[in-house]
Amino acid sequence: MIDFTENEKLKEILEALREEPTFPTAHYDRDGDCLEFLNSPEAYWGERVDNLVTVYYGQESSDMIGACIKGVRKLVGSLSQKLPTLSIVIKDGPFHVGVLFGLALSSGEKAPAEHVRLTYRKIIEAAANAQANLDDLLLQP
Amino acid sequence: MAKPDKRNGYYNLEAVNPFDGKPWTLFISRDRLGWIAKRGEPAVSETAYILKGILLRPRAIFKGLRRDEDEDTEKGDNGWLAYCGLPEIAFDGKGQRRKPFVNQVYLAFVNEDRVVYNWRWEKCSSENPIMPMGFKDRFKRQLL
Repeated sequence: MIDFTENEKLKEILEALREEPTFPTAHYDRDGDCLEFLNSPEAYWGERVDNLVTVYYGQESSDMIGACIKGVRKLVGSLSQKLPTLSIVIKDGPFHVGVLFGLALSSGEKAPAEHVRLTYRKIIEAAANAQANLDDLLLQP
Repeated sequence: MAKPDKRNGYYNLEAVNPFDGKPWTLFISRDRLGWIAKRGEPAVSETAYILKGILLRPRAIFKGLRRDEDEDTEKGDNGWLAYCGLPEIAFDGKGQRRKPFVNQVYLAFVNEDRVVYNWRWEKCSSENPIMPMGFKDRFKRQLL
């Protein structure tokens, strides 16, 4: 049985933080070192693509409505060695989320399976208008 | 990183300790709650009414979430956790209560500082409907 009384405390905190929803929305979580984007408020389920990426599908539409990439700090760190200006771009302001998924796709030592590559392509397309501030990425963990 | 607490932007969240089955405290950041709040329904209701139940009454808890070589999962409490449960309810796109989604479980992910940083529905395993898909391969060890 759900104790809604107890859960109301968390709801109060959320209500106090509530803003008018706008989509697409993206967020880098420093605690999880993961970057997510969502194009819709729809309830969703996640499906892992590989060790880095999880796709979000709408519960009612079954459309791809977002995705999550983890290990962002390590990914950006290793890519920054090849692309020294990457940290400058990140620091400059909102970062196009799709770019990070594209970088992740090309970061592997071997070519991804065809179905993985196609899924990444769909994610990159879906993330076309999503931007996130990655300032926390440049802070010490 | 400083220990999470309310002073530096984290709220406490009760959960079951996977190592001894007793209550312990996890943390959730104000920053993440702020993003949840900006997404409106049903994200807000899932966080308010489903997440806590999963942390207090999980069906399983896994350790060794990442498969990166830099996560040392052999050092005691270090290592990331995944709580898995079967919610009694779900919420539709308008935040209206409904039955749980069929053939799905709810996961909550916890980092090594005991911060709950992500939570979501996932398809269940075809082998075991109370476990997430791929549970045998994606986690190092099942604790509970």
